[in-house]
Amino acid sequence: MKLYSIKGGIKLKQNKFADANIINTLPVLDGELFYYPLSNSFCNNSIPVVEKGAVVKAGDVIAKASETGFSIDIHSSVDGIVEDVTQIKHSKLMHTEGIIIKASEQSGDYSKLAPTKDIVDTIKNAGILGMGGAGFPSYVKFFSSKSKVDTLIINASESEPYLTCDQSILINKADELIETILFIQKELDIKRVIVALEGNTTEQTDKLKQLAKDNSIDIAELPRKYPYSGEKQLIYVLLGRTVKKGELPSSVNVMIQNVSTIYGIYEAIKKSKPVIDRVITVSGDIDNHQNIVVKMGTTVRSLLEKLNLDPEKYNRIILGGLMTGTSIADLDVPILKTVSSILLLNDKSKNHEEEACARCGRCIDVCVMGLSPTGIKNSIMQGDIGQAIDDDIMSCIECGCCSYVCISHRKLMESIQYAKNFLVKDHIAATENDKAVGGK
Amino acid sequence: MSSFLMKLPPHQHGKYETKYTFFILSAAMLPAILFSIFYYGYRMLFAYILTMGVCSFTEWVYESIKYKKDYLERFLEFKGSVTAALIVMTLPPILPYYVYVVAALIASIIAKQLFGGFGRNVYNPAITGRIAVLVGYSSLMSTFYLPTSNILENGLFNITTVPIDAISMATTLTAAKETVASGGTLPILMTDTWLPSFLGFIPGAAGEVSALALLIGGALILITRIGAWRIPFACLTTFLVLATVFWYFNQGYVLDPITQVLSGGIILGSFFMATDFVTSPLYSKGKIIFGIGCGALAIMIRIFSSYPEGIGFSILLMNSLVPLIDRYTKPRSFGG
Repeated sequence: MKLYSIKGGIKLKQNKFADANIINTLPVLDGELFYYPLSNSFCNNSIPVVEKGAVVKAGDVIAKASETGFSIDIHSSVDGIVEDVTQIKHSKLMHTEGIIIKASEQSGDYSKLAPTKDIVDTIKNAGILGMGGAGFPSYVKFFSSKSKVDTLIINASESEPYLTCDQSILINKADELIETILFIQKELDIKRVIVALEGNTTEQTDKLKQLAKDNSIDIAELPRKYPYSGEKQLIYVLLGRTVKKGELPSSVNVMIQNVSTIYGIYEAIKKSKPVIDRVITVSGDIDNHQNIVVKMGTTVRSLLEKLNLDPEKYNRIILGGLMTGTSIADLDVPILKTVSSILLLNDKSKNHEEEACARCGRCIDVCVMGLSPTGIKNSIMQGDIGQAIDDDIMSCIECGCCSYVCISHRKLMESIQYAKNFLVKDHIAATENDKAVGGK
Repeated sequence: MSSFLMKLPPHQHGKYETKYTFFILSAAMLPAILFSIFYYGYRMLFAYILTMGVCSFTEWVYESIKYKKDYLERFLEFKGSVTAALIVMTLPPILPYYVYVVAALIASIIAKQLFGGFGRNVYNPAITGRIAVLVGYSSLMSTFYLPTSNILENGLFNITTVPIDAISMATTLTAAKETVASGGTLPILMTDTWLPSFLGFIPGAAGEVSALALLIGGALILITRIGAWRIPFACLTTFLVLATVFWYFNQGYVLDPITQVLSGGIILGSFFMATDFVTSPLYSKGKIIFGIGCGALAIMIRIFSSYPEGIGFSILLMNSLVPLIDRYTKPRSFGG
């Protein structure tokens, strides 16, 4: 398959130690506490429908989607008793409203989803989010893609180091994946499906390749470069279509789904099972690297205890990949749908001070979005958010390449992320306010 | 409970750091530096050490004041050494030592630290230092030497002296200017100077004479991607094209393009000085514009002004245009 080339990107050390052939399952203990935050990165303010002391089964809805904004149902992942509805810890939001469930004896079964006619409703009821890490609600993707999309891209390239959880699904669940892909293709009347694999994924994925060939699904092998698996990059590399600034992939008639998400959809459609667990990679500077099925809401502490890993031995714990993951200080944060891995690291690198920009231009060379990270950072530091917006700060995909290559150890991506999350909104509000005042 | 290190993503960093880039840059200059020591004798080594000492010392004093800390480890990084080496390389070989000190002080204090230190200077420090002494000590600056023996014949500790070990002689460019000014004509192709100019056995500034040594270093810079290839490429191409045009229409009065490239500081300037990150444009389009400007100004100063050599002036002039170039060459974002 012909691939289009794209500017930028970096080559990372792979460190893919976790064996993708085997997926283990993490047991649930009696009396273990599970935490379910009501807000996540994209989906906010689900409304709790259970009260303290209520008895729930795995798969029961414990919080309903709210009517406003993006929001999804939240399901209990274990059989147990609601311990409390209160403030809980969250890896990204620090604290948020959430539900705590104390596990009792597990029946191993789950409450099935109510059957629906529409695939979009099923996906919404199952609470499926983009499981690559961003957490964009999948029902929105399906809804905006209906009768519009001609190409479905399955993103199976894990360009982050250490991660093999998507690969483990590719190897172990090939039949299920192909079945789901064909189902979605039929439902949404999609002409072409492309599975984008990372180059040299070895012969382990042969089964999937063979199945894809039998069902006339295209396989594309991407060069090993980070972050070619970014949404807009992937569409350009595979199809040569450019997603305009601020638009979604559906604007160029493409839908992208992550492999883990597709597997979640399989479970929702074929097994009527909501998202109550997912495969994550446990890796880093440890000995027993593995891929493991973890129930949603399990705390990092209990996961490490069950795997006999002593957190005292490591000085960094990261949820997600090395380039985009979140560093955590507290072991009591729960594992959520968007967490693809836990990395335990013994980081001995010095904490470098930021130096003055040497203007070497490496950050500009590696930026896949064609931005000027150093220029944007300078604007932010000078307080000129308007200039940063003019320089397309909002197009940044937060891949972290700029900070990775900066010879002066400037925290480029960190500043841009901060400005995107906090300063830009304030600036837009302030300018609109100025305009309104000036209009009078 | 143990405490965990909190950092924002990304959680890893690439291998390149400012230190390494300077290390590679120094390595790239090494062939030309070694050639100058070999050619002009042990005296050059003193000059390098003295200038590096002055630059590193002022840099260290500056950083200690700026950060209110004693940065002994910073002193050992020898941050100013690239500037220092470039100053010695662009000056004539046999000079009184105080000229080096003056050039180094001007380069490092006025051109760099008063602008806010490394990363914030507008003008290339080495060229500023060089031009300051060029204006201040113009008679010393126009005297070049052709050594009659080298370090191998002279012995390591014999200091080159005039006129025993070297004869005073004008550079090819100055000689050509004088010939034309006194009413003579030049040969259309100066083929007999090509090989000595390429190897470096001609009178000239200490580090500029050997095109071969500079090209080896330039190749290292381009291979390791320390310097952008666009600047030397655009600069040399423009220089050659314009040199060919001027030569074609003024045969006998203008040196042929090959002699033009091989003599003077155009190769050193375009590979080592114009590519300085801090004082060159950020974006690729801007780098090409910058290179074209440097090349065009350099050849025009050589031909139309009374100065025999113009690469230093042309780079300084283009340096002052960098903010403007950056403003109008911002890349378009993907899909924007």
